[in-house]
Amino acid sequence: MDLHARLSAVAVLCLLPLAPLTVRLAHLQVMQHNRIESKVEVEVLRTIEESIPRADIQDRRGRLLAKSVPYWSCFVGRSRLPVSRQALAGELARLLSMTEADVSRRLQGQDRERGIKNDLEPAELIALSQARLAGKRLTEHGVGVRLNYRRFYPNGDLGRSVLGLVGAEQNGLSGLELTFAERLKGRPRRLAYVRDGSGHAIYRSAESAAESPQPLRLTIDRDVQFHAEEVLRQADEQFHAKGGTIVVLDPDTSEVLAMAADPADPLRNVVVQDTYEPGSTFKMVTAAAALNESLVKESDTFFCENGTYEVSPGVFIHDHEPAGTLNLQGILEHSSNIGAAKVVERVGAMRFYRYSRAFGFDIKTGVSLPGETAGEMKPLAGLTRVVLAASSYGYGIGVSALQVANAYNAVAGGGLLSEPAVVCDDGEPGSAALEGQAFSFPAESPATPCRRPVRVRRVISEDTARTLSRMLESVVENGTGTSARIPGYRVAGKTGTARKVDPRTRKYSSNAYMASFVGFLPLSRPRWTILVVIDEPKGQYYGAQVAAPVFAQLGRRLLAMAGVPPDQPAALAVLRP
Amino acid sequence: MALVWQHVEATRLGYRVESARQHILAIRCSNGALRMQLETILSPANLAAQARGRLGMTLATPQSFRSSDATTATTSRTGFLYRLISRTRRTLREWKTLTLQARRLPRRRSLTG
Repeated sequence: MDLHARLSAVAVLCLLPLAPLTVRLAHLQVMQHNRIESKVEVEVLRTIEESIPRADIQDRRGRLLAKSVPYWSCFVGRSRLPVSRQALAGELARLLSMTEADVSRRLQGQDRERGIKNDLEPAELIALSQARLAGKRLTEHGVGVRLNYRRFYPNGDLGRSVLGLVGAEQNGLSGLELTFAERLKGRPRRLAYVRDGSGHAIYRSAESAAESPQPLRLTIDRDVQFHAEEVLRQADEQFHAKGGTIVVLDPDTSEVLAMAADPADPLRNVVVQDTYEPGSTFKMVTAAAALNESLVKESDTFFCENGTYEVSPGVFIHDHEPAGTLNLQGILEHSSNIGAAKVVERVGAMRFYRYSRAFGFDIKTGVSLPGETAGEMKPLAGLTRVVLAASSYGYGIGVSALQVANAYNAVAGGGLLSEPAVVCDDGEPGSAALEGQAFSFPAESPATPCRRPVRVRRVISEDTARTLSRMLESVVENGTGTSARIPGYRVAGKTGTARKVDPRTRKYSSNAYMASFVGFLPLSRPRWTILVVIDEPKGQYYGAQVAAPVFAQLGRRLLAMAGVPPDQPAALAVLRP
Repeated sequence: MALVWQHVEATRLGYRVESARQHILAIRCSNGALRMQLETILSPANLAAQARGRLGMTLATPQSFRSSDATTATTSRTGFLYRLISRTRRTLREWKTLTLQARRLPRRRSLTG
């Protein structure tokens, strides 16, 4: 046998034992590959969802209103190793700066997982991950840590009726947290991993990419909201009122700059969910219809029956202050119910109904807040002579505070009704820009529109809006709204006082009132439309006495804050010593 | 060998990923807590309380502001004596400035010369 043959024989003899191995390997790797892989995946490979925080909510300038803050909690599950409960309690007490008795108490019970401590400090977290008990890591004794998120509102109760509430599972329960629940939640990332013998995770791949939600930017201005809430709280305390609301809108865009309610309830937003009888603030609608249809000229006069008018046999209307003959401006200045009833007789039920709806009453405004009411109005067929007369001065109808503010906002905006909004357009600069960046003070620039206004309809002509604004200015200068005056500035507005219905007797109460004032300023170029409603003030109850001063107080603060120069400097010069 | 090395390296990197992940989450926790602390301090209610309570500040009114025109108008109404004092002060200020400039002139020359 030659050398070549001998070497081949030796090679065959050496490799022959490997042949079955090769065959087996090929069988496992090729033929059984899919089966084994799926078996491994089931038994070893795990997937977890890496929870991501709920998106921030910011004000119009990017200042934080709500944020989900992560925190770690420690729990003890089923132990894989026999170790005494006392030893474990002692070790955990040492690591977590707790007493042994406290840990032992928490370890008792039959729950699958027993919570030991929330809000772990970073040092405690590291100590837990490095600690060993009986030569084994704590994870093998069933000790685990979990990442949780807690919703935090750094400004306390500021704007809570608008922001709403989240539950323990970080699901929105009310307010914007509910409306934008899906948008704020984002999509968690799924991670695939295997655990080694010691229980450590070894990450393999990311099954799906996370979609971190962008912050939700609101039209609310934190400073305006703060001032609105503060003046409202002070007014409620001063008049021992049951509650109150303030709405501040931007006349150009109908953006909601502030929506305050006292008492603040995160589960209920009274500004959009509750209705009330607006009283004399509704006379603006009557006047607008009469002027826009040219049914009443500024010079036309109406006899106001010296305070008592029998609108229908046995049905009387009274004025709080008897008046003789008044023109439309005088009717608004004196807030004459009889005058308004006589004007609406000329306008007619059909037109009055049409204008009321055109101003947005009996229709939802479309604001993105849950549970919005459309209000309540008699259908056209139900507008009898008496009902029509009562409706002309705001009785027998139910409106939301936002509807009233938005109707006056249409007048301030030159007759165009826009859809009020609390959320800025998505993707606008400033919303995403702040995420993940180091903290910086937002520029204190004047508020700029953060969304494209949604114009609903033209309600009245520009000329009518101008005339009506002048009349409303006269209400503040010479009429019932003098306490809403702000020296140096032109203010337009209307007072309102409405009796409340007693739910027990279902009749108008003699001692429960809704006092309101709604207006806009400065008249030369309106920057804010403000509605103030005080619910059941004690002692004084007229809108002129209760709500108008609150309007002036808030107006003064906003003017000072924005540095708006006076548009009536002559009045200021007279006051100057 | 390459496959073995790849497997070991993947495992090692997996450990590092887990460790880094824990680290990131711990830092995120601290960062979140600090951010909240900062936002709470900067909240309008807190700032207002500090400004009023500790610094004795009061709310500004629109009348707190004066335009330059208004200042001129006020000055014009305050009488002869006030105008005389203002003018004397202004003249003194101008004289002082001119004196300082005059003192600097020779020094500048010597430096350049």
